[in-house]
Order: sequence, then C-alpha cells, then structure tokens
Amino acid sequence: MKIEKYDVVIVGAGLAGSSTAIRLLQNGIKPLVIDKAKFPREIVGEGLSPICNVYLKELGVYDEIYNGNYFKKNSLQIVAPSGAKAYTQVDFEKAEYQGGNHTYTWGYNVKRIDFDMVFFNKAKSLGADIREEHTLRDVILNEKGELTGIIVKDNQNEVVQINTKLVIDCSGRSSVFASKLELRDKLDQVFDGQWANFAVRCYFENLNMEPLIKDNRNYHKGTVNMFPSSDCWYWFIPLEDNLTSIGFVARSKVNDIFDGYDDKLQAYRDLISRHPVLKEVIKGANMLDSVVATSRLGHMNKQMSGPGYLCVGDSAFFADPAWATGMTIALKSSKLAVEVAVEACNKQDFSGEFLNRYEEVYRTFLENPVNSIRAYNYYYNDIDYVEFLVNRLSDNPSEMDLMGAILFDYASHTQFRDWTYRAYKAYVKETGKIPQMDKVSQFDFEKGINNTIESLTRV
Amino acid sequence: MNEQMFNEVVEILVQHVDTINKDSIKLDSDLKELGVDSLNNIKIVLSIESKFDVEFSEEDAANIQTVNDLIKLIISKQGALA
Repeated sequence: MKIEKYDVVIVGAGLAGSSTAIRLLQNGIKPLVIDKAKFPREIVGEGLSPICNVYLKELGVYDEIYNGNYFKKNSLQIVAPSGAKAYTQVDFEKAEYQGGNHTYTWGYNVKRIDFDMVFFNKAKSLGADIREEHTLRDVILNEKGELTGIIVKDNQNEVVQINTKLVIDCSGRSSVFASKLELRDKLDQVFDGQWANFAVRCYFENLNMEPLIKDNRNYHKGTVNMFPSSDCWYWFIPLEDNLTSIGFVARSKVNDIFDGYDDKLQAYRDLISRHPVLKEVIKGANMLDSVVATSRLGHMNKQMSGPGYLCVGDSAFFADPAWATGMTIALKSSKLAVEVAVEACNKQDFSGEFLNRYEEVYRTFLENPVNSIRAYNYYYNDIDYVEFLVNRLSDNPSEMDLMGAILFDYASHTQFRDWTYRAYKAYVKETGKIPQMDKVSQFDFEKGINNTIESLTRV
Repeated sequence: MNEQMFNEVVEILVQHVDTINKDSIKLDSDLKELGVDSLNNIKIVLSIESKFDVEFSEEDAANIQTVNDLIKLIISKQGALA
C-alpha cells in the first residue's frame, strides 16, 4: 500500500473544507484535501447571512462574490396559509439592530453549485492539494486512541494510507469520518427521534409573484419568503431574475410522499401546492428537473474534537435549515478550527486536551441558532396559531424588524425565543386556545448541550 | 414565608389542574407530580402573571420545579419591578 504523509488533512472540499484550506494556507500550512465528489457538485442550503461578508473578506473571495451572479438579499417575508404577510428590510437605523454598527446590509441567495466553486478554486490557486473522487475508507488510531492517519481509496481505486497529525473533518452530514469514530449520537437520543426530518429543494421559473408582492410597494426581488405550516415549513429563495428555489422541511412522519406517483417531480409539486399561497405562486410555473432531497436532517456530534481531529461545519452539527445557519456555521467553525489548528501546529500539540478548546467555543456559539430552531419547531405547527403570529408581525412592524435582525444575525437568537413565548402567551390569552405543538424535543437537545458544556468545564 | 402568596398560588393551581388535591400541596411539592403539564402550564403562567403583575420568560417557566420555586420567582420578579 502506498503511504503518504501530511501534517494536516482536510476531509471534504465543500464550503467548510475549502475555507479551512484557504485559512491554513494563509497561515503557511499546506493541507491535503480529499473529497469523494467531483466538483462542481450540488448541495442544499442557499441562504448566506450578511454576517458572512466578514468571512468572505478574510478568505479573499469577497469581490468575486460581490461582482458575481449572486442575488443580494436584505429582506424577509413571512407568509401565512391565508395569504397574510409580514415584511421587513434590513435597516441599521432601527432599534432592533442594536446600535447598528454593522458594515453589510445584505446577504446573498446563492446557487451552491457555483458558489462553493469560488472557495474550491481559491484554495486551489493558493496551492492546496485537492484530490477529488478520493473516498475516506477508515481511520487509523494508535494504542492510546489517538488519530495517526487515514485510509483512502483514490480515483484509481487504489488504497492509500495517509499518515497525519491532524484531520479536519469537513465532510458534511453523511461524514464517514464521524461514523468510523462513532461520533454521532443516535438521532433518537439527541432529537427524540422527531428531528428525523427531510428537506426537498426544487427550482422554478416563471412564477406568479402576485400573492407575494401585492400591497407592498417596497418588495425587493431578493426577498426570502418563509411559509410556516403544520408539520412542515416552506422556503422561497430567489436565485436569479427568473430562477427561484422553493423547498420544504417536513417531519419524517409525513410518510410515503411518492405513494401513488410515477413522477417524482409531480409529487414534489403537489406537496408544495398543499400550501394555498404557494399553490398560486407555482401555478403555470416551470419546474426544473433539478431536485435535491435530503433525509434524516439533524444531528449533533457527541464530540466535535479529539486527539488528532476537529469536526467543522455540518460534520459536527446539522439542524433544520429554518434559520439559514448552515453556511454561517461552516464559515465560523472553519475559522475557529484553523485558529486552534495553527496553534497546535506551532506547539506540535495535537492532544485531545489541546484541541478540545475548539469544541468548547463551537458549542457556545451553537446555542444561538439552536435557541431559534428549537423555538421555531416547537411552536410553529398549528395553522391557526401561524395565522395569529403572522398577523401579529404584520400589525407590529417593530416585531417583524426584530425577526429580520435575528434572521440576518444582527440580534441575539434568544430574542426570538423570548418573542415566541410572549406571542404564545398572547395567543392563549386572546383565544383561550392552546396551539397544537409538535413535541420536537428541542428541550432535550438543549439539555444535551448544557450537559456537554458542564462535562467540559468539569475536566 | 409569605402565607398569603402561597394560598393564592394554591388557588391558581387548583383552578387549572383538574386532578390536583388541594390539601396535598406543600411548599416543596413538585409541580409535575401535582399534575402540571405542558398544556395547563401556560394557563398557570398567565394567571400568575396577571394576579401578581409580573412577566415570566420561557426560561423562567422552564426552571420552575416546585411550588417554592414558583413563589421565589414571583417575589424576585416583583422585586425587580420595585
């Protein structure tokens, strides 16, 4: 077997992996990057928060994204099944933006097949050794349980051993690395089994925009629309002048979506049409034959770092994409990981104790999106209640501005949880009804985080 | 301990929890064991809020385990207002 040696190996060349490679190279460390895919490749997740502009600058790709064919977004609309709408646009003058000392008022809606390539090419141009169609087969541990290398099947089907001091796993939701090291908690334990959701993303042309823009002279063409519903929520993300991503996240208990269908596209189309507003929006629209579906959404690693490894982006944590957290977490955790990795290389200390500083910071950071996701999933399941919430937001522009500030990462996500609880109390008070809640068990999820933080501080 | 507040809290609990036995409610009683669940919980919170003119966050509500916790929370919230 061929044996190679690299100080740092990155598994995965997507957004997390390429960003990690760029940052390592900026620090004079040349990593090996392997990926099972041949780039460019498709992936779900199109929302890039304004806060990510900072990372784009640091990674040296800001201008290319800014001048590229990517839709800028700075507005959010929430739409109820009845057609009631609440709309907000980023405005740093508003109190919800807390002093407004921010630079970027816009984020992007991006086609990942193109967007991820910017990072991939940047890493390559800086000298990263990126090997596509290379699959991770196994990990090598020494007698102390420390990671000392990986086994890879290369693009010629040859098995190669790569000895290394540090593996940075950026291989996403279905990470082989995580499964080999048994890093994933059983879904049932972390999410009470009910986070086993699935997501479907479709592309449409020639949509009927009328239901979304009527009575709103300020409607911006880049507006992200969210459609909370029962047992699922839908998104509407414009990507180009005549190309929009529409998709949904649904509980896995919504089974057999293809039952009675020969045509998958028609099944997806009918699922989207279940929402009365979206039904009007896609009526007569052209659906492209480019659908991506994911299943069993949601996981959190028991460990995000250990002796000889760090897990970055989706490989460590993945949640319902309701809050467009995927790319933010990938970019943020990659930055954290490189800070720790560079120091580890300088000190030549790749021990679990040293690398675990990464995990500590990562988990603290996660509390923010997790709060929102939890609150969102817990409360937004009852159509009557969704109508109440959207009408409340529509009647109280400052509350809707807060939603925007939170979604675009300019306000703390705990404010979303607080708002949700206040609205929940108002609903019970006004209607005497208790919204039907799906026990999505984010309470256990949160407890899991707290337990981990406790156990870390105890050590 | 504030006996009047205890009695008022007991009244609210009795009002919203059908299965509750009024005489069994003690200061250290566990609310879950008394029959407080995720459904009647919100009605109790609302009644407490209007009775004592306080506002609970979700986190506050989630951290209440015993009758005593509830009373302590009301007092601390009232103190915050004063």
